Amino acid sequence: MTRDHLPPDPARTATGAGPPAGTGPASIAPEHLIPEGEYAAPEDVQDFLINIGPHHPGTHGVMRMVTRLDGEKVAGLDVRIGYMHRSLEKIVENRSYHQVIAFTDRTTDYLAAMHNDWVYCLAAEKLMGIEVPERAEHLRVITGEINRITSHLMSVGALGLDSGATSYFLWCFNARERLVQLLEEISGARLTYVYLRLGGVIYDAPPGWTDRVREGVRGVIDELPSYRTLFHDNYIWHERSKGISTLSHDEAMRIGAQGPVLRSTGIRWDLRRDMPYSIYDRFDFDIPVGTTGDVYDRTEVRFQEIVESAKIIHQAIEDMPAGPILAKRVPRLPTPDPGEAYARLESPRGEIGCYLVSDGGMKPYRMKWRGASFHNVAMLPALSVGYTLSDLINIVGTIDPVMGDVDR
Amino acid sequence: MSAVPVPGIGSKPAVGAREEARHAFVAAARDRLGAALVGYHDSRDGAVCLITPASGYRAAAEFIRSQGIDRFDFLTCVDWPAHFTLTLQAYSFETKLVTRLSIRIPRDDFAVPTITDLWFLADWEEREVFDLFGLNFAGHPDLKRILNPETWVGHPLRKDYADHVDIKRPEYF
Repeated sequence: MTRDHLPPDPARTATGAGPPAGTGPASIAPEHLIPEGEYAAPEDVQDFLINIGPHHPGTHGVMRMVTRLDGEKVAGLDVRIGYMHRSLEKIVENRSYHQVIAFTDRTTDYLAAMHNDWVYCLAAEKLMGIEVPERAEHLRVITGEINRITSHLMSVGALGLDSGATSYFLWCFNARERLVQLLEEISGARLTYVYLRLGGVIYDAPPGWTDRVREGVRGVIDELPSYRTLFHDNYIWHERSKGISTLSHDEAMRIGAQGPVLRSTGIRWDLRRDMPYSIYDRFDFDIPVGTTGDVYDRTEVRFQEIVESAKIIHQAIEDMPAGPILAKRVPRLPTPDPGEAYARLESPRGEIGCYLVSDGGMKPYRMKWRGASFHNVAMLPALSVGYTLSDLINIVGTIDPVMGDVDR
Repeated sequence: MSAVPVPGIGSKPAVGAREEARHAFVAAARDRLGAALVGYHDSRDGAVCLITPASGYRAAAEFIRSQGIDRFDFLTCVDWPAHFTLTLQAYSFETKLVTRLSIRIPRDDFAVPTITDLWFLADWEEREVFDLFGLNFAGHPDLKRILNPETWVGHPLRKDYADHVDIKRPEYF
């Protein structure tokens, strides 16, 4: 990276009309001034490197993008990660199976902590053969879907912020706050819930909580049309998003796209319906899909999934039986038989998975975390090459990376 | 790893499309891989696990990809006292059949062929295994550390890894 491509700055050249010497911060001793001719860009230089991050608001965390630009177009992208690596998988090898839950929601995707705890519990329950009571399954679904709504509101709101719609971001945060308070009421925490346990959940719903959830979720859904008027139907947003970073079916399958990015290309694939876990096969909901897979469609899929999550929440509250919330006979220090188990789950960002290997001891012998954001960021160069630098920020926003999930 | 010897295919009745797909897959695996297939078993989470020697890894991965198993799940390694186990998991979009391939790699011979040309997402996963376990993937286009800095010493997820910084790890149990 050289400064050769910058235009001549009149304040810094000897012949420019800068402020008089000694009157302002731009005053430079004459021997330090650079002759004007040295600013001329070489004729044969076509592209240059721009470094974005690791500390940059557009990267949604500590991600570094070394971008090769041809004019304003992205000609190449090298993504560097690892700035927030906290060695989750090594820590887990020194903790008991119950203690791991405190790490899975902090160290991975902290915007969807409920889902990360859930996938770990699914894997561990498969490994140990634990049956989860009905009421606990319903509470897991309700809290999980509330968390999906908060995560999607954060995602589309931050995308609005990236493209200049600050008030839209604040509106989304306002709605998110009301739902986060519901999660705080049942779990005691606002972001890292640690609400799930092996074999169930830790707290039952407080009195009147389900009514407040109904009310709160309905309130958010009723507001969505005004959000649409403010941002999604806005001409400026259409200009910035339609036709940007289009993705075909075949290309999406080739690069292993998942979650909202996959559905935005028109493929109706959702693990909640296609490979159901927990009790999702009982609920009636649609899977929103897009057509072209561009930035607009990805945002739209997320926005419409909020409504579908609300449908699931209402059905789950309707069906929720009374009964225990935690399985009986879960040992305090489980020692599962030697073997392996894998569980997968549809998180707000795509498919997450947890692969647990036991050697019969008290601690997991090995845990592999399959993060959705890790694979989303891996396909970022395939999505963004050929579009402009300002589009790149929006494309990063639409794959919605959470760096905790990338670096683990 | 409780691998059972390859049983006869017709021993279990086919139930449902997923079961049919499983039988067809196992039959094709026996047919195509032959002696390279050391064994297979059904994991307790429903995946079909193939076990091959390290020399048959690339052929088995190519076979799995040729069966329409297009969705890549993960590639990871487990450090057992006597050997490494490299495990690859993928599933099929069409039949929803989950397949897992495991190979054993002796501790003194790390070279494994790359599979980045079969699955796009295997690229970063192989870099991660290289970073954390030190396995070399021959033919990988850009094999370098991904989570740790390039100046890092050692491979942290090996069981015999010793911190070169002064962290004393307490014995909890």
